[in-house]
Amino acid sequence: MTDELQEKITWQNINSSKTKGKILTGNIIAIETEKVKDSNITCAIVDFKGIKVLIPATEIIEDGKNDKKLLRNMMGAEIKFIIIEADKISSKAVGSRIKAMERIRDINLKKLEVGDKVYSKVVGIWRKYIRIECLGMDFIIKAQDLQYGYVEDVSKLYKINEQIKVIVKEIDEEKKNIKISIKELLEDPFKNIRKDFTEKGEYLATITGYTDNRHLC
Amino acid sequence: MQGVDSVCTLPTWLDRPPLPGDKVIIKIYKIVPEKRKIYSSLVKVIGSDADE
Repeated sequence: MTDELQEKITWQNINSSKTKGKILTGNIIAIETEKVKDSNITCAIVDFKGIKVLIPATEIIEDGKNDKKLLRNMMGAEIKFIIIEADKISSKAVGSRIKAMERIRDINLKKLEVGDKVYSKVVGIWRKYIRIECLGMDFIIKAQDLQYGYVEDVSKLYKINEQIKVIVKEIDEEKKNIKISIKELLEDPFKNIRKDFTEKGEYLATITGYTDNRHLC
Repeated sequence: MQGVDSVCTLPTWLDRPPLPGDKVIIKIYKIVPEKRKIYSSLVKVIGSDADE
């Protein structure tokens, strides 16, 4: 395929996204600040087949603020978006992840049932929690809800774009929201604790953290 | 002890407390499943001279 043809197809996709709401996918590759009138807008830069797509931080998540902290932790994440503005001359477009997520959520909520096991994707990593994208919805999962046992640093457990299996716990169709769990899909180590460990037994362990005068293994 | 935490008391003879990631041998002295707690004491820091 020639570069010209590739570019033509890319712009067809962009126009189709703008007019018909086609959902596109790309990776966050940079953070830039765009000056619009008198205000500075922090944007995630997504590379869509060579076209620079700007997604304002406020269009990334529903409660998104106009700051870089959120975007820094989402760097490299593959996100879905819908184009809201496009300019072929400058080869730039403006997109919204929120609009794409709303569309995916509306489609998925209708066919979802409690107890369904689905895959989610890690789109943001902090030290004590991760942000996952699942069926057009974002979830913040704290370290203690990711696995049994103490987790010192979540970023050592997961990578951006990694897929995680989750179970659907509740569905609220009115609020267009669901509750999910990752931990419930894992075996509880305390279920057979007396079988695996005995009092006065000695075991190999790894230091995972500290309390005031004790260590956690 | 994969996926299970134990609260481990440090012995007084220990010069240098182990750091996160260090391998150690612990002795379990109490298991309380209903509280999801395992109490233990440190027996040996692997790779160090701090033997019991």
